[in-house]
Amino acid sequence: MPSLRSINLRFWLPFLMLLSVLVVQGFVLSLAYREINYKVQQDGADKARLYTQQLKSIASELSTGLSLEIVGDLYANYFADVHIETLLLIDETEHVLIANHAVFEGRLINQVLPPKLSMAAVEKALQGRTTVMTDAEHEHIVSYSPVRLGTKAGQLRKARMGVLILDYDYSRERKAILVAVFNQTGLEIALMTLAMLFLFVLIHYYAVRPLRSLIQASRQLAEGEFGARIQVAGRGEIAVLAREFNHMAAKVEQALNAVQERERFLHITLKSIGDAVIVTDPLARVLQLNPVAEELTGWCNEEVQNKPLAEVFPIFNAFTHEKTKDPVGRVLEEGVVVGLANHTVLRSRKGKEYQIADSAAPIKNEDGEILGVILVFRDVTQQYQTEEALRRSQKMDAIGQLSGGIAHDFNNRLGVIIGYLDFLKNYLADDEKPRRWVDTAANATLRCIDLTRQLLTFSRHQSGETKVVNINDELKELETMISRSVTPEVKVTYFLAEDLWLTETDPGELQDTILNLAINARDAMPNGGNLFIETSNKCLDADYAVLNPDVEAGDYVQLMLSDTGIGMNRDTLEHIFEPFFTTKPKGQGTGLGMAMVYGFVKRYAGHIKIYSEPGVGTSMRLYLPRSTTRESVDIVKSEHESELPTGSETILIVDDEVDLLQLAEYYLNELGYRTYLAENAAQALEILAQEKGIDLLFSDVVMPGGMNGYELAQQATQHYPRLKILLSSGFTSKTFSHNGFARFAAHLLSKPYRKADLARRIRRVLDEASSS
Amino acid sequence: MNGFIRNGLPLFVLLLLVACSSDSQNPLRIGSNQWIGYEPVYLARQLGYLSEKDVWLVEMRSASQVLDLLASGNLEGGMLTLDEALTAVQRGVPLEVVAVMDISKGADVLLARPNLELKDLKGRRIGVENTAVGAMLLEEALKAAGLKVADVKLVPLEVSEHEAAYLQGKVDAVVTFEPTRTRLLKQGARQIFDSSRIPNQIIDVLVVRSDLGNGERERQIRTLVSAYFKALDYMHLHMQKAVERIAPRLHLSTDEVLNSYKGIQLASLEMNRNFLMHDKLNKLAGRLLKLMLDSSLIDHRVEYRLANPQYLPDKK
Repeated sequence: MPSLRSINLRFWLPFLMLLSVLVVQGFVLSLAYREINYKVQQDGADKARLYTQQLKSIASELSTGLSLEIVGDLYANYFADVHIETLLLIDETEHVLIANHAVFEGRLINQVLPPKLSMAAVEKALQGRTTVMTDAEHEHIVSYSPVRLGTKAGQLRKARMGVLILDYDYSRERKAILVAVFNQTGLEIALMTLAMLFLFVLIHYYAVRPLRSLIQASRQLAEGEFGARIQVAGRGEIAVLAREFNHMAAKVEQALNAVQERERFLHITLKSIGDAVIVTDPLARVLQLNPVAEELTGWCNEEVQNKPLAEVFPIFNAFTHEKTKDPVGRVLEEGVVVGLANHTVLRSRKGKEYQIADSAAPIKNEDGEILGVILVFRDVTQQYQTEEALRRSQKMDAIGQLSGGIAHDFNNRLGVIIGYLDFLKNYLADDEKPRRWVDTAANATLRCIDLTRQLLTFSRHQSGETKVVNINDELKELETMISRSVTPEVKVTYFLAEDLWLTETDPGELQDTILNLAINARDAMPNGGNLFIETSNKCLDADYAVLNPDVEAGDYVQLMLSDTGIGMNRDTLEHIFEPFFTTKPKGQGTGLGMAMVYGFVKRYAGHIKIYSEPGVGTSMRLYLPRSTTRESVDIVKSEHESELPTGSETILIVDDEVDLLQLAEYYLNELGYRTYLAENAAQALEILAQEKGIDLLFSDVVMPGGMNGYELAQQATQHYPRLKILLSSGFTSKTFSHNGFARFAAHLLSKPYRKADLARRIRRVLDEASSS
Repeated sequence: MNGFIRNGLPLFVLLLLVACSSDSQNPLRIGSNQWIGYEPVYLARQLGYLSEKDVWLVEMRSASQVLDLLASGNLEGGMLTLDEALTAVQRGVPLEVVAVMDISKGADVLLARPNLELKDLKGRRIGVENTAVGAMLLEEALKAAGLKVADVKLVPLEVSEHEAAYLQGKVDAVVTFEPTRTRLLKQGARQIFDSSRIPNQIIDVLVVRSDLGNGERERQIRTLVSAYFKALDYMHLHMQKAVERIAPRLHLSTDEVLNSYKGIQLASLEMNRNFLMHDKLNKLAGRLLKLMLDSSLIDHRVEYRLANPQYLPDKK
């Protein structure tokens, strides 16, 4: 870019022009003056020579007889010449004959000769030698010329010689020229000055004023008035400049508008981002918050300008409650994108805490220089909770599967043990002592069966015998039991909703659950406290369902037990539903109570929610789906063992456990039935094909080697529609309850079964109308 | 280029300069013969009241030379006797009187040999300048002597010849005026008649050609007239100093000069106004013309208004 040197045009341009004109003028005049002076001198010399010649000629007429008067008159013509300062004609006696000062006439030359003239030259001239002299100032030419005046009286040859003295002064010309030069120079200076003033005015009006408006407009532009324009007229350079300026200003305005538009768009974009955004400078001072960030931090964008990020964005670990390292610091140090640690909690200005997920990224320019940090985060509290719930439920499912599998096998063995203990007891009918041993063993086995059932209750996904119940009724029935279960220091208070909805559940399991929860509450209040039992109708909406993925939106009956006990910490809450997890001293708890509660709730498509605060208490909410059936129906209680129903029908027993297969055969044979045995589905189908008189298929559900009990039942009923089906299982996998096997689920006998259970169920199935 | 600078450019500038400088090169040329009445003008020049740039004083041998140069245009003005001025006008030279300089009250004289009286002039040679003043004075003198012009022998002489002619014995008497008068009186000549006996008849005037045009010439004339009156003022105040300046120029002693001035009255500004503004000069001129016609000095009469008071300075 060429550098711009500038002067004040208005003043300097005319001044420099004036100066240069004067310098040139002065130079020209000085040259001219020398020439003129020289010419004047030459002219003066010429004139003096000419006059001398003329005057000598006139004087010489004296010798031809012309009178002195006439010569004097002729000379007088020269007197009027302003250049002739002195004109003297003297005779040989040195007397003045003719003088341009009349008074000199007749006098001796040495009396009248003006001092600046030379007497010596006069003498020389009298001797016939001409002298021409120039004075020191070169203003006078004086000639002293010998003149022949005539013959001397009485002599023929000898001429009378006179002298003509002419003092020719040409200083007038020189002075005149000097004066003229002076006058003219003065006039020129005056005219030039006028012209320059005019130029000044011209420059002022046609250059400086437009330039000033240009300057003014530039200033306006610089100060942000982008609409600043210059009125332009004409086609001069400044007009072109002004047009270019206008063009530039328009372009700038356009570009700026575009930038502003873009900035506005970016601003709106930033505001519209669903996540919170915080922008900081390289010193981690906040520059901007978007509305989501404002909401989450509780700060206003205007308030936080240049505040340290740590003040606006305090984060800490959800579990340890320790301050989390500022991610911006790391971003600034390393220049990389940094994600937040899991379980980061943001505490807002108002103290509200949000689970957040975020990332911080450096804002870099083209050179890689970090200009600031952009922090993007979102409130994942809901998502976190949802994920936690999902994770927990998946874990519980897995635990259920595992424990169910173990329990199932265990159950089968227990079934064999109790069965044969029963046989043994019958066999030792008269021997009292061994019978007692068998009873003890049987009792221990029953306790095992009970434990196994509890474990299966947790893991089982299909309800057993469901009834439409009013939870209030169940609670009233349990009131005595609950009050006995808790210590006298615990005060139990009921808040039972009047028009409580009904729910479909197994009342026994419900009661077990309530007792379990009451006992837990008691254990949480070793020094006593309050236990509130509350029922109400709840409508869990879609939002709640989103937060709790294991819940479907709908109407629920809520059963809530709240205690004022020691509460639970987060870790305990995390594991509470796991089987065999207990906080009670060794030997006091089985660790299956809450697992059973969980299994119960899940089985009846319910939902459980625990809220606990260490040192404050715990509140357990159970939600059971509202039943559309109006009345709760009592199922007829089962008969006593002594009146076991018998029969003579033919029954095909299928079980992969040979011991259980034989036990079932013994039971059924004792009850009068004819039996066939099969160890798997293929065998069973074979037998069914061979033996036409089989009335009932009694099959285990879970069998290795492909086909399970349901599938077997399905195939068998397809070929033999009159065949009755009874299935038995320690537990039932979710898959079996789907895929069209539901009709068989109604005829499911839980393992391990006692002889009485089997007798009753076989009889009931056989007695049912043969339509199914 | 060099040629242009050496020749063309100076020529061009010279043309410009000549155009501008004509005035300073052309002073007002005023001619005069020797006469103490005219000396205040020379005094003015000596005192610096008049610059040569404005006025170039030309000293002539005689009034006739002045008249010749006035007629030929080599002079713009002159100091003359009124009759000389009238003569020039009658010859067709356009003149106007811008100032009355002096009135002869004895300065114009008839000098004779010491042994001669006025009545002894009959048959004598009398030198006289061929002018109206000369004629007038001689006529008045002869009239006083009871003689006529025919009774004497007239010898026409230029004023510069008066002294020599007398001393060489070429004439017995001569009609002359200062400073010749004083010099001849020193040589023993005897004054037998003078102008004091014919008051207000012989006056000297400052004339200029009336065809000079306006502008610079008018300024020069005004400068001349006012310088003349300034010199008069100087003389009134410092007569001795003035005379000391005048005397060497005329080759006279101061006493002689002072004596000469007794014969004339230098015309004051007041008198000038009287002469020029109130037609007095014109009347006198008319009378003089008649005399000149009678004396055959002129052969016809041209009516002409001589007086021009416009150059007189304002009253102080």
